[in-house]
Amino acid sequence: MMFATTMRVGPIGFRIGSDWSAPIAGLEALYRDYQKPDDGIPHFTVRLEATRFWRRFIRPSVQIAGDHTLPEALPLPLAQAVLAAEMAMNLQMALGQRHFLLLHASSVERDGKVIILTGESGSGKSTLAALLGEAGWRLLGDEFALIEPATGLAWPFPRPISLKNDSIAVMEAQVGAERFGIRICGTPKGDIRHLIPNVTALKGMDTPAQPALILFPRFGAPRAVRDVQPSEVFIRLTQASTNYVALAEPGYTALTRLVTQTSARAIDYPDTASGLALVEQLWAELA
Amino acid sequence: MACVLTPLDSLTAVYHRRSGTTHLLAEPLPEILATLGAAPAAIPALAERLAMEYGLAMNAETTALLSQRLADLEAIGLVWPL
Repeated sequence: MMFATTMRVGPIGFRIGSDWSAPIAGLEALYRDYQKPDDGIPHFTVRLEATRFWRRFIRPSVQIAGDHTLPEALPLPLAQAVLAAEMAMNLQMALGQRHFLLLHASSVERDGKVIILTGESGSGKSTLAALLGEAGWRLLGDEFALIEPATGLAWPFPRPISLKNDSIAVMEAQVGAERFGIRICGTPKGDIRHLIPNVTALKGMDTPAQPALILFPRFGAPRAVRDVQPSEVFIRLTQASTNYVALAEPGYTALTRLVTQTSARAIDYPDTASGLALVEQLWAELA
Repeated sequence: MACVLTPLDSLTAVYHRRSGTTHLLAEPLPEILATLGAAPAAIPALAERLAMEYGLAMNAETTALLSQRLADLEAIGLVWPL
């Protein structure tokens, strides 16, 4: 690769190569405060490649390549290369992660205890985690929760938060411009703008903590709270995990321990303010 | 043990080590599995052991039910006839 950079997000190191300099510059801006991979050895390599040689120059479009790829992945325009890199990094984790039970979830920590928020895209888990991360909680991650099989601890994976559409303005109202990436318009997911996690999240990215509460948020519905039984949590988390089957028995052990030792609630909330209030209320009830 | 059983609530998670598959079973399947895990048994002996350990009534209805539940467990590859 002509251009390259590396970074470490929590316990995971990445190497990103690119046919163009601009995506690397964009990534180095987003990851300017992150450490490099331990001993210089990344876990995963991602490559942002031109679909054809001349496509480096003419209507440049980015094909994702790397250790793990999906055959049907469509190329993105060069202007969306940072998003392509993020998608490729997610893909490495989703398909290649072997050390942690991976849950598609956001997570935050306070007083040494973690809330895991999991749900479909659009459930508001990213936005809630981003807001909690600015309101006295430590953001562990907005995309993946990493459960360590040997200990049951949740490890941070605080990559830049991928804000979408309406949540961009919500966070712009809270956080200074210096922590934002450029706004990427017209992506397959709408508009995207990355938010760099705050100092607490970045300084704490090597500190795991014990899961204490699992939430299944649903945005846009009247306020409601429902207890979720362990067997339902188990099923939903196997669906939220990309590597439960690949991890075999350590995955089973990690997941059953998480499910039997952690309270779980499904929460419906009409707007982010009531969602935040609900999270704080459930947290207070847990104490 | 060929299987790891983890009671969750009314359902029990079962990890089958050889195949790496996970099952969620409702009673009395985990109880049957645990009992057979200790030693293979024919239905009458199995019914006797379940009666001792779990207070299962010993009658024709129990035998018929056990036969059906063993067929369920056989269908998912967790028990098989010897």
